[in-house]
Amino acid sequence: MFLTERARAILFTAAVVVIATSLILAAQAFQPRPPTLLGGITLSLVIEGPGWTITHQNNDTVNNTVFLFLLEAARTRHFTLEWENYSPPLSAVFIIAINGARNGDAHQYWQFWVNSVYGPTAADLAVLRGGETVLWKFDVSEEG
Amino acid sequence: MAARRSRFRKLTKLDLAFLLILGGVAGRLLLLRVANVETVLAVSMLAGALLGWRHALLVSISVMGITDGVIYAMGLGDPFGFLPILGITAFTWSGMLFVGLIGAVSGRRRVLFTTRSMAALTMISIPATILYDVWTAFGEWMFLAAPRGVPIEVVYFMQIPFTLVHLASSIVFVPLFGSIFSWLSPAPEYLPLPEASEGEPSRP
Repeated sequence: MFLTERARAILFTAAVVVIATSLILAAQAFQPRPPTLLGGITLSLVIEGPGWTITHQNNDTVNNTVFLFLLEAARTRHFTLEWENYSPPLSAVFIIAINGARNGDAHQYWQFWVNSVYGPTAADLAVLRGGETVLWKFDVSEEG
Repeated sequence: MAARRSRFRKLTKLDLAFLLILGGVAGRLLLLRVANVETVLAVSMLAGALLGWRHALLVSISVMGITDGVIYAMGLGDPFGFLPILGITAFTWSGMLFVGLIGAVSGRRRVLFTTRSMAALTMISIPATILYDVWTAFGEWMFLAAPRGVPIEVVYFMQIPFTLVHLASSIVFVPLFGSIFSWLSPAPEYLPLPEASEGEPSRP
């Protein structure tokens, strides 16, 4: 089939747009999403800051990501929380400061563990099923 | 009649390399908060395809050096510590150099301002992107995840959405930048045909 250069260019551009959009949609579908809970779950939280510790427990929470549960704790226990949003297509939340302790102070940074397992994802992508203990620690990098 | 030529098509290889570096640096810094959407891979590959492997090395190292310098000066690498950052830098820089070399190999057949050329470059950018991501994810596992007890399969599984977005980024930026830079690159020089001479054609 003979196509002019202009027609080829238009077809190629259309194909690029369709494929790029499909890839982005596939990537978003791959992101972990917390299930909508019908009932509450039990979760515990320990925040170890510089010279202080905050604990929070809820036996009937529907905030089933590490970020949402930290947000719940901040509202319940009245401490400040600052975070940063990464833009779409792969949106993510990164914690900057908890209760005034800000990333970079004395080369320390907020990191989290779920049941003693290091959280390798952003806090809003770490899904909690119930029964977990989340530890937020203000610490120097392990290799630092 | 003299062939019509645009002034823009008389850019030298060094001019093009400079513009590619500019595109790579600006794209990476402007898109810093959009995970895995970046222009460095596109400019590294195009530098190789349009200008050859030496310029691919120049463009890749310049873009990575300038942008990494700015990123770390902003303190964005601090949480990881000096040694992990050094290790990851080795993986990302070597990955981009490899992409540039892939571009250089693919550009042996001249890249022209045509849809066919752009489609071919875009196709080549797909395995180049996958190879880059597999390589750099291994580096991230080695220097960041493994010391924290995260297994390599978890790192590669979590890499999938990032690679899908990176592929989308490549298949948009490679033809976009490729069209611009192949149009700007020097047009092939043609030697004038010899004047037809009178007389009998020579016989073998």
